[in-house]
Amino acid sequence: MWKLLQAALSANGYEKIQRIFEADEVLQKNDAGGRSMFGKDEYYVSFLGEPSASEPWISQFGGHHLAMNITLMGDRGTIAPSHTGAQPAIYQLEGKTIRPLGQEADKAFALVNSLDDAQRKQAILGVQMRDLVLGPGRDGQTIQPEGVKGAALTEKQREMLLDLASEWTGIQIETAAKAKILELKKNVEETWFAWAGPTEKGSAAYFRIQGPTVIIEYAPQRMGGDATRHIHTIYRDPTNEYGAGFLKH
Amino acid sequence: MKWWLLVFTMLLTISRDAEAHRIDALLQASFIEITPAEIRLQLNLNPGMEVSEKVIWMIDRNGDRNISAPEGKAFSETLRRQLAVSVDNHPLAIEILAAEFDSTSELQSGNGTIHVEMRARLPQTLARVQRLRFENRNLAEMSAYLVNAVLPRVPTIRILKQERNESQSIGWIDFSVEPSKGDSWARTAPFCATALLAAAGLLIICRKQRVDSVKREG
Repeated sequence: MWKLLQAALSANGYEKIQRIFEADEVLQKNDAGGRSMFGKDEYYVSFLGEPSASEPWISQFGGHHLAMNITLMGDRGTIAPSHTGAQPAIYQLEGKTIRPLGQEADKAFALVNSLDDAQRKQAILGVQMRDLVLGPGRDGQTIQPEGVKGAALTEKQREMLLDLASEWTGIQIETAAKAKILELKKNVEETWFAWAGPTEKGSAAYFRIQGPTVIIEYAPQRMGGDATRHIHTIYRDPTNEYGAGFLKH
Repeated sequence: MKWWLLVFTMLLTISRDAEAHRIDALLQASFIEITPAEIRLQLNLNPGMEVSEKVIWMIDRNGDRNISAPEGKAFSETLRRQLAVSVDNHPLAIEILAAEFDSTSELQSGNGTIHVEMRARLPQTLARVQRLRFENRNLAEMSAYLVNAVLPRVPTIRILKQERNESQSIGWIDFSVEPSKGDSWARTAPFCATALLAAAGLLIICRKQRVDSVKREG
């Protein structure tokens, strides 16, 4: 299975998945009292369709805080929808501090803190976001975009927005990731960035990126502890969930 | 396997397996869809593990760990009574269209969902810009809320602004309605008919007064 993931994902994506996987093992050993639903033993794989070099097929891999849907059709691929999360979102492994979703948080704080007053007024929603709006189970749901529109951002901020989005689009294999980020770049003026929560780096805050072909959410979880240590995220493509868009083009 | 069947199977499987479980709250996520004729409400209730038994007890009143149709209906009705929808300060009647309950074991695990679909019919009005207010007062002591406007499916409806209170138990949506050609007559017909009737009534009264006046003078 790991060889398949290594072949189907980018090097960064593969590393991120491994770190999420390790976090769940840490949770199982340290925080959850050995509850059976967590840890490396509780990850599953399934295949839909037959592996093929030209026909569509899906490999699904996941467990607690991870659901990768890797759709391949010839030289095209997508990982939408996929759920990444981490609990704990920071842990020690072999003497190193690991933050599986650390880049996502750091880049998001850099972007929100680059906004001027007028942009912040649009971007910051002023509400509590206790979880993902379009998380698992919300396939096919569409919502009205909110926040600050890409058209109202500077060129530098748009680059930061795309760089942030690449933390999700870049999980997939490099060729697919490159095609996806070019698509997002084309639509960046129509892409929205919304924020809920404090803007001080390291605090628990929610954000959403929503454009014509992408929805990304990042939601810290207030579940009986420090919300910055428990993160849920979702990556969606409303035009190509499970590769449905490949059949149209 | 046919590709569409494969994707459909996928939708069923991923929706359940990928759920990162909830723990300490009942998450009530409301999606509000505005159509030319009605407001559609989709409510998804996800009880966290620590509150799931309380929620199950409220639904499964005979305690047999099965949610029967009457039990589901009674819970949905209780939920309906705790919701309020108004447009431009006019309260709208809400009706339940459908309700689905995951099993009590799924609800207990923090992975289960209660899905209830409702609607409120929009009153006929000529106002192009209207303000919808939605409030969810259901089980406030244990709940976290999300409320969002659904992207309209018809081009004649536009969402102009969304606002919420901090907890998201209340949401306001400003929307505009641009009548399509067919809609235009349908929406204005009641007002035109009323105006015509009023004009006809006035004409009759005026003519009667004139006849009476002529008779008196005669």
